[in-house]
Amino acid sequence: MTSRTVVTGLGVVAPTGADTASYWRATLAGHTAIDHISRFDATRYPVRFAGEVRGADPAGQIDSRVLVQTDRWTHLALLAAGEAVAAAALETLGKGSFDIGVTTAAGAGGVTFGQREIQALWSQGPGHVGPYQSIAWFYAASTGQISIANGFRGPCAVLSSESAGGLDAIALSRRTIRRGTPVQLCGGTEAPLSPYGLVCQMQSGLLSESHDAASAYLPFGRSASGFAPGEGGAVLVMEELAHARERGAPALAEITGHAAAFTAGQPPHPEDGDGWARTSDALAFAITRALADARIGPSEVDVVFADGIGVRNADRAEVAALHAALGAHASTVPITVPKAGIGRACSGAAPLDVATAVLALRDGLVPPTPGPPDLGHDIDLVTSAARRKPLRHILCLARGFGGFASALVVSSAEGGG
Amino acid sequence: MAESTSITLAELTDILSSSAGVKITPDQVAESTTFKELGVDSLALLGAIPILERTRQIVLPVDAENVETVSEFLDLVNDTVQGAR
Repeated sequence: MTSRTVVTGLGVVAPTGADTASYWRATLAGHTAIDHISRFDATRYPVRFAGEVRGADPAGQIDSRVLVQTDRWTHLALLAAGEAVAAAALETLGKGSFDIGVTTAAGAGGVTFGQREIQALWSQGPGHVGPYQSIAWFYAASTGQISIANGFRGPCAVLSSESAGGLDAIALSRRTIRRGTPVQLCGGTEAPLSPYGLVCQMQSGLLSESHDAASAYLPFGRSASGFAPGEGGAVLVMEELAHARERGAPALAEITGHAAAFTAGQPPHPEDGDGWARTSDALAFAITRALADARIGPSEVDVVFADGIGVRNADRAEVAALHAALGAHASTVPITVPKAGIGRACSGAAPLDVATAVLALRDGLVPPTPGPPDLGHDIDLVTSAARRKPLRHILCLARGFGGFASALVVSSAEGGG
Repeated sequence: MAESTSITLAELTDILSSSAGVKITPDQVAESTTFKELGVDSLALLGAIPILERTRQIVLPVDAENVETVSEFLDLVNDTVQGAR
């Protein structure tokens, strides 16, 4: 019997909504939460805008002992995990279960916590560094704290492939499920808005320096000038289908295909048209392989949730990859970039896209790409309003800075396989 | 400036609250109450020690974080404070 991986629960913490329901309402309405950076005084920085999570209440929902030993990035992960666990009724499986593991994607890690401790070290001395720096900052903190908080003792992992990490973590969870662990809590969050976190992201040259929030992130736009960074993410409960059926947990969607590829060589400068063009074959390969994994043909892709970097050459490369992998279908398949309204939250971006895809499949609604219509490429970009359409297969794309290129196919619960 | 007044239980619980997020009140602490019973682990104590040391300009012995009961720990701290006068 082939193992099949379905999604049985969702948890979301996003700039447009601190839980799944409010996030989905805002996403369908095309809301945008991109605004001035408020986490620190960014007036001296060329990057002004970001998507910040404002509606979440870590202090009200997380044990104070855990709160002080973790970064905001882990706070958001714990909140999202809490919602997902409740949504999937995982508590019925008992605490301490070896049948449930945790896999997250991580990127910046505990940058705000870490910056504070390093500032204390350099300005006041080693005696002023707290005991939690090492456990708050490092990549696996969110995986670990989710596991500890919930007593999930199955296989745990953290994966780092920048903005592609979310898709790859979902794929890793699926492999873990195939190897015999029936449930995996999987996803990622990011809270990279500290001075150090922002400066690290600025190195790519891909962040927008727009003076106007409305043009700070225009994926596939004629006036695209880069992207806005973001906070937040999502956690999904992934489960082996037979296990879900046996305990009466409804499947929201199925993860049917994945592939990852890498563009060798230096990441191209935003103005390097040829360099970016050369990156498209890696994404094309990932798409082709993911479709083969899902056993579907190009024409069966109903919607593409694009990576949407919002840099002209990067967008062009993504369109080229879609043409190479989907053929003529690339010109007519609806494409959308919901993250235009919340920013790119690195490790949280792809899990948010996948959670959004699950909701889209459930409701038969394609969310719009928020922001003013400004299309600069020959694609069917869904803008202005959500589009009603029967959906069976959604293709999610994610490229990570440094060369990562991944594709994931999410299928409707009945239609998959 | 070095202070030579004793550290009270209230001051210790305040420090544990802000540095380790452990919310305990002095009335929860009896003579034999251990840190473990109060949910104060070794990392939490490791974080409180430098703060205590700074408030009284003292240096606690190396194995201070291994002391099991709150009252023994307070005695150790205040003995060190007295010794430093």
